[in-house]
Amino acid sequence: MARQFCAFLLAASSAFLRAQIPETKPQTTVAGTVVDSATGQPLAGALVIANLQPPYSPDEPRPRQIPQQRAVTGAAGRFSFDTTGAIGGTVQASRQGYRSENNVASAMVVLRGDFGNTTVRLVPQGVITGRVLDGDGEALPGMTVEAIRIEIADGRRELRENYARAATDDRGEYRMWNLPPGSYYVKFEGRVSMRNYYTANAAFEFADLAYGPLYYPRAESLDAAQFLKVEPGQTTNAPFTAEGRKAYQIRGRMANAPPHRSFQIRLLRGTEQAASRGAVNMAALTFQVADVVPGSYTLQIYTADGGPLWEGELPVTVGEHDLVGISVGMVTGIEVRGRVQSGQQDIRVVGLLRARRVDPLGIPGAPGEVYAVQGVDGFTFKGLLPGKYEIETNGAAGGYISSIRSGNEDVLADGLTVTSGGAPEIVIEVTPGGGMIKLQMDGVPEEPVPGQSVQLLLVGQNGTARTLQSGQAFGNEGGFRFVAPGDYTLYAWPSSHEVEFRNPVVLDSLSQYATPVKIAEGETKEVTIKPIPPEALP
Amino acid sequence: MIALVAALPLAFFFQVVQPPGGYTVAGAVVDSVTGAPLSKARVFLGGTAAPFTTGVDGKFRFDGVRAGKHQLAVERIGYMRQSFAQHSLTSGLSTAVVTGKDQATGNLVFHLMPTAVIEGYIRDASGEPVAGMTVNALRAYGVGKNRRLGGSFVTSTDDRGYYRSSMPAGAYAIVVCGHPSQEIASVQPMAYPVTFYPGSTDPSSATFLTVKPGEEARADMTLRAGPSIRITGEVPAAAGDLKLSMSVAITAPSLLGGQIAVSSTAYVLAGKFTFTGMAAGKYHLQLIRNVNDQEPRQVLGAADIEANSDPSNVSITLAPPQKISVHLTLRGQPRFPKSPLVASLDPIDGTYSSSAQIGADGKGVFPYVVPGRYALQVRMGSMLAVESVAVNAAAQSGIEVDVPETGSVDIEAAASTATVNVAGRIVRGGQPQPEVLAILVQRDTWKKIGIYRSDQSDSDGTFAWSDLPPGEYLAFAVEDGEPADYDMADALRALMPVAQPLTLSGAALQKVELKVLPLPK
Repeated sequence: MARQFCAFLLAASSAFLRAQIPETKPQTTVAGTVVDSATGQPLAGALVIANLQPPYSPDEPRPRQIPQQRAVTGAAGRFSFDTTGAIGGTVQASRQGYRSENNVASAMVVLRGDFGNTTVRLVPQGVITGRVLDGDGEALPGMTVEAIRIEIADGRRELRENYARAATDDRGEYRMWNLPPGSYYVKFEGRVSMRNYYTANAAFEFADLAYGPLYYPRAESLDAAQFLKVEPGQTTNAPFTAEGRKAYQIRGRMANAPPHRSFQIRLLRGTEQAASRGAVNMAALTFQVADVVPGSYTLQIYTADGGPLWEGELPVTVGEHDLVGISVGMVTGIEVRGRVQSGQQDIRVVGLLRARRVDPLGIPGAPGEVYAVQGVDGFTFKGLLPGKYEIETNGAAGGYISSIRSGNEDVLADGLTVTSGGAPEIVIEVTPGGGMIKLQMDGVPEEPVPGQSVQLLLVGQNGTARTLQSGQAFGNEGGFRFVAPGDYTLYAWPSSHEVEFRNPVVLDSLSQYATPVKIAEGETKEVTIKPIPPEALP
Repeated sequence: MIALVAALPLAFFFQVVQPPGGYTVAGAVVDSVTGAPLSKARVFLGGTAAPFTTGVDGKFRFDGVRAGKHQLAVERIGYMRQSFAQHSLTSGLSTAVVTGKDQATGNLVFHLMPTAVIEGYIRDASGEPVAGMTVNALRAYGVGKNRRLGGSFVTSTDDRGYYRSSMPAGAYAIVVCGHPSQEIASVQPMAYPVTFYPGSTDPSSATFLTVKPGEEARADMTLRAGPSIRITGEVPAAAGDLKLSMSVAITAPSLLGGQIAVSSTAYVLAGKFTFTGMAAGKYHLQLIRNVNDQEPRQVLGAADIEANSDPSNVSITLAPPQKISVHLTLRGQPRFPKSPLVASLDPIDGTYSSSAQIGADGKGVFPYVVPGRYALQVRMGSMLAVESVAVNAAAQSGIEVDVPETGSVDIEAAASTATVNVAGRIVRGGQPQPEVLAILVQRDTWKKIGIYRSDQSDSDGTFAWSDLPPGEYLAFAVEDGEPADYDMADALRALMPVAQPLTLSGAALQKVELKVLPLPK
């Protein structure tokens, strides 16, 4: 009896759901075209994957699956899938040399029952190419060119170094392809190589003249560089002329270094990497750097083999001769401990607590972000190399962070300094309580739309430090809890647009859109805010 | 074939009176093709500290040079580093500049050889560029029918299907391999077979492309996709008793009986391995013990497969490598008594050698010897003469050792430390000839191990071979090519009409004169 009863219910609910689907013209296929977003032309050879969903039924403990369907487009760029039994799903397209509009490997279209004709747009990738010549117009072969992509993420302008690399051929030509449209710096690195070896010192070919580094078009440092805009499907030309300059070598040894590890050596001029070729004898722990043009540098040696990180740094000045016999002391990452202090026992920092290396000498590949291991009596950052860090949290439950100190250092204002001896205990002071901001978004649909959310930013002041709290609103409501009493300004914008909000200049340029809010202890304030229109964003 | 590294010529028999000012080595660096003088060339003279950088006239000059033999080398952007009168960019031999009384070293011309270029477009049958394919240019040595493959120059195609590679001049086979985009392959299972220039999947119909210094050659190719095949395999014994970490390397038949790698190695897990996305065709699989880079590769088994259906199955029998013991009797006083005494089994047909350290008791063990045919060699700082070899108490006629699939192998051998140094001179019509190859083979082993020693005559016509075991040899003076062109039985056979027999014995230093003779047509 019971079984029959259940079967009856299932049939009834299916009939009910079917009734909700517009039955005007039953579609049993979804068809469409994959097009090149730059030319609008259909794309052949694209892989299309359909993941379709059956109606949700509360009576089925495990939802039914519709097997994934795949197709490759022909000359007309067309695809077609059977949608029998589906109420929605996604169609994804990908193709070599193309990416989606938001720069992921495949472009996705969400189907919401409206099967019919759909268009998937794929963005053709760009190319940066050029020739590298010396002052006499002669080709420079076998040298490296790098594309540095400029991106904005988490409110910061981030330079994605080594986004692409290419070597010049015998004509001095290089070609970096499959580049997502966007802004790039192009850096001619000169000769770059790194060898780890066990035998006697390596000899470097052509060791008297060094070339580069140069940033396109002819800048010696990033400040004076000009960025290039790579447009979809376009080839951008970035030629270089590099004069050879008389170069010398640096030779020395590491002190306190672990043996039989694989090392990297680099020279930094200011905060930018100079062209250099390095070699390390892994057994003797000696090193050699070639192609060093006279000047002042920071010499950095670090392990790059996946094992525990060791690092050494030394300021060096190279004159008109080789610099020999120097010693670089090596250190490994160190533990820094901390605790949360509050009037109430049970207040902890919630979720994320991380140290983010902010000094420009940060080592590529080294963990730039170290998450704290939180225990009952405090937290520990493990493996912090000497340097400057920012401590980031996403707040505390039941209160607000009123200060972060390490010894005499005001970490909120000045950051955390870690030396080879570590750092004094970090004390995060949490004050229980705080106020609350409830936000109502003006001109935003009530129902959340996938892929469309609003970025929220609450800017306050703690002593001399500007505090930033960011969040996202889905639909037209959002807010902040446990807000420290004080004066704030609020910003909101569509999160499809990345804004470099951690740059004070950028934030100040948006001041006309700021909504001031004052919060007192225990107060709940309701604020209506209008997101900044995309065309007004920088 | 075993290539022996040529010993550097040593000036050990010179008796020269040094003039107070020394000698001069001077000349000009020119492009060997255009003859144009080259600026920005760094000229290195062996024994002098600082290199000389040329100006626009290409001229260089070293004064106050002591009498003797000096290596002269040039580095320049756009050229490969090379030594004076190198016959090719891949030859390791050059002509040393001899300074001394009556030696004309003030007006040398250093012909700097430019590299050659091979470029082309790789497209599929519909004419679309194929990006990311691996293009191997395999260097062929030898002439006519006597060819063998040496090193390779590897590059890959870009978004236009274009590749471009610079390389030493020579004859090359162009071989394209790689996988089409993984995503597409998941829907339309297809794979590109290994394709040989000008466009065949059959290595026997491949043609060599010859490029001269400074020349550019174009080699476009069309790839024809076929079905994608999985090759699955098992190593029956590996799942159980043998706790070895192993991988399988897969190669496809290449030219001249060689093999070319077509995929990265597959790990053997629980006695099983898989290669996906393979094109239909013949493959050779080798079971390899995973060792670190410092150790020689250890092959534990091999199998061949003609994969035509999906999946294609193959089983590799684990041939547990033999441990072979060796007992060596050493006669005479070693020249380098502090050097370790090492015996090695060098494969005559295979690829991988095995070596054994010999202890003070004369005993040693070769670990991991794959069944096959080997030549026993003994070194102690330099090569020693192997005088006798007995395998399982049975005396062998030469230095060869057969390692069977099963059964123990005990080697009893005697080696002599007596070595001969040869101070040679190459002449034609009584006149010393510089820049000529001096090639030496052992009379009894050349068919199997090829060239034993090689050198190139210096500016005064002299050359040297050092640390030779006493015995019967054949020597040749050859004007063209490089040793690798002759390091095969057929090529040496062609040289036999101009062979000059040599018997080396007793004397520590033997003077030899080799004549440049014309090869009969």
